[in-house]
Amino acid sequence: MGVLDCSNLNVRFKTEQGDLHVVRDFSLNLEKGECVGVVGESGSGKSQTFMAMLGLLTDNGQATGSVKLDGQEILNAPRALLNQVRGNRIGMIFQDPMSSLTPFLKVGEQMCEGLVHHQGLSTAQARARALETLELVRIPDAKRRFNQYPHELSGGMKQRVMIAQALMCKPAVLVADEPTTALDVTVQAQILEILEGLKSHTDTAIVMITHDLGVVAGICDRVLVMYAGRVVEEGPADNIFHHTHHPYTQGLLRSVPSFDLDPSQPLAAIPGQPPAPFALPSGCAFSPRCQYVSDACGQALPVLTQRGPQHRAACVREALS
Amino acid sequence: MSAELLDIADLRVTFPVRTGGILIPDYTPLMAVNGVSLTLGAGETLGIVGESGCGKSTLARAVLQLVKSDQGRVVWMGRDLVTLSPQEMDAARDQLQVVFQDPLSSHNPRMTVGRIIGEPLTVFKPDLSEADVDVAVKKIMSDVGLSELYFTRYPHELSGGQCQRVSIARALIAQPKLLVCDEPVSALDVSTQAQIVNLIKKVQADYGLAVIFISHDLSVVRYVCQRIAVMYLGRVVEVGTRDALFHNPQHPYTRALIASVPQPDPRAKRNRLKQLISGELPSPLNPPSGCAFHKRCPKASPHCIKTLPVLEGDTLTQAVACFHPGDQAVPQQ
Repeated sequence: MGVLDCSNLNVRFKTEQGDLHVVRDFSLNLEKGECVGVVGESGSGKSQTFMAMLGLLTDNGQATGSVKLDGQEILNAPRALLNQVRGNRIGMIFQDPMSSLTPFLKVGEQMCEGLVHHQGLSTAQARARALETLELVRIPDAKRRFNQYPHELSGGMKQRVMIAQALMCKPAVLVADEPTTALDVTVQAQILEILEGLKSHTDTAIVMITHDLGVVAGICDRVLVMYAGRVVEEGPADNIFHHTHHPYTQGLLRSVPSFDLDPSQPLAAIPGQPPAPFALPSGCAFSPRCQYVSDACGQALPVLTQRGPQHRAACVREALS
Repeated sequence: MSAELLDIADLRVTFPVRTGGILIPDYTPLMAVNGVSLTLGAGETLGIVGESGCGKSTLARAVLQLVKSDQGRVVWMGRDLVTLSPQEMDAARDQLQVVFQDPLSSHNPRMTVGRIIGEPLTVFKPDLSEADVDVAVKKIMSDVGLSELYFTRYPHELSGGQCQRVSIARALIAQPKLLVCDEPVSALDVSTQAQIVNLIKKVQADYGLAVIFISHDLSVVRYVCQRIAVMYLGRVVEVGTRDALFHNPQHPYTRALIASVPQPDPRAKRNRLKQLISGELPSPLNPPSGCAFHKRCPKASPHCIKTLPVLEGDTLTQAVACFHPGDQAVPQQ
């Protein structure tokens, strides 16, 4: 059994427009040391899935299903238990490094806080671990940075501090929500290299939430593609990119203006936009935008079926031609 | 060259940055754009790439006279825009239009889509009747793929991609000759990004526009632009045609930028790591001596630390500002 076992997670929000069902039957079994990418457009439910697991939904949100961390149920668990999990056994890196650090605390102070709180280390021990971790994420001159405030650091530096902070307690799972979206491409490459290094140095499992397929390809072993709250395809990264089974995954891949495309041809964009969560089409939610749509698509919701070893897709078609 | 539509020569933009205390104020000049010379022909697409803070947006704003330059010329169809009076400049703006990065905040939230798109016409052609403006707006809306249903909607009712279509429609309605796109797709999801990239390419061809396309995303720039300029700390370090730049990049920074773009193919992932650069853009308040890139450059020699390389070559085909371009080994000293 994996380190994080999530089955049939559903997330709903009560709003003025009615109940929004934003995550539907999400299941994921995360193994030790594995890196899983969760890909989808804004509004596909990829972030809310993990916010729900960590008990971070807004007040009008409700999660059902089961999330087990090392066999222990954490979904809707009491706050005392969640406080021991968050930042300790599950680390989280958020998208915006500028607004995720406390501006009034020195970098070192906010890094050590969690360690002292969760693991009862002395300040000196925590400091030693913090310096070690800052070096792990390749912050030059770590001792000086330790005593600086976040505003003295550049965006890439702050994101490194965020990663270091999330790693302080040596978590079993690291959830990285769009960790490189706010960064320049050169700095993004550096951050991805650090995360790649983590995979080989520690047995922390990494979940990478992103809309950038390039980021996923570089680092993830396994990929889940989400559309309108559901996983529509999942499998080993190589299969997702080279033996694509879902038309949405194919559309996403073709939308990327990668270097081997001929720029004189238009990009094969997916027409239209994702549906609003309170007005989902019947049957397959992707059918109104799908180039392979048939009568069968509107009738019943396609379920995930086996397409290869560990590779599943939810589409009525057997294969893409 | 006088045949060019736009001729930017030795353009420099500095911002005074307060570095002193409250009692003893002191200002240090920040050279956002430092001696940039570029040309643009009619119907040509020029890409400008670089990391945040390299001055690419400031360059575009200086071309449009949205920030003051303190040196250099921006010659637009034979007239130096820098020397125009504000009134003359306003009259010339119908030919120079712009699309900004943030799709939502670049629209007035209290105006309908129809009015937003029509506003440039009411400014530049005040004698047009309201009905004529509406006809023109509807025509341009269909050109950019916006349904007429949106005519009476407000910006908050639109998605990011639709907002960006509105921005493009608003820019095109005055029938400009130059369209400046400042990171037009950075805030969009990948599938919407592809739609907008296709749209920009389509209107560029349909309207015969010259385009300055600013982006930090090299793969998008490669898709849209015929010629690309790479900026680093306020200067152009390499400029050339798309093929020259991508098949035969000369500047180590260009090479690093290209190598940094994550490609959506797990099999291709790790053969390019050796080209990556470390560190981040230095502070433009305190730029390094000589070649500004030398602190991050794998090929930096003592010469690079002392002397500033100038752009050499034909900017229409390929020009580079580097002492050790291409695969050339660094001489041992």
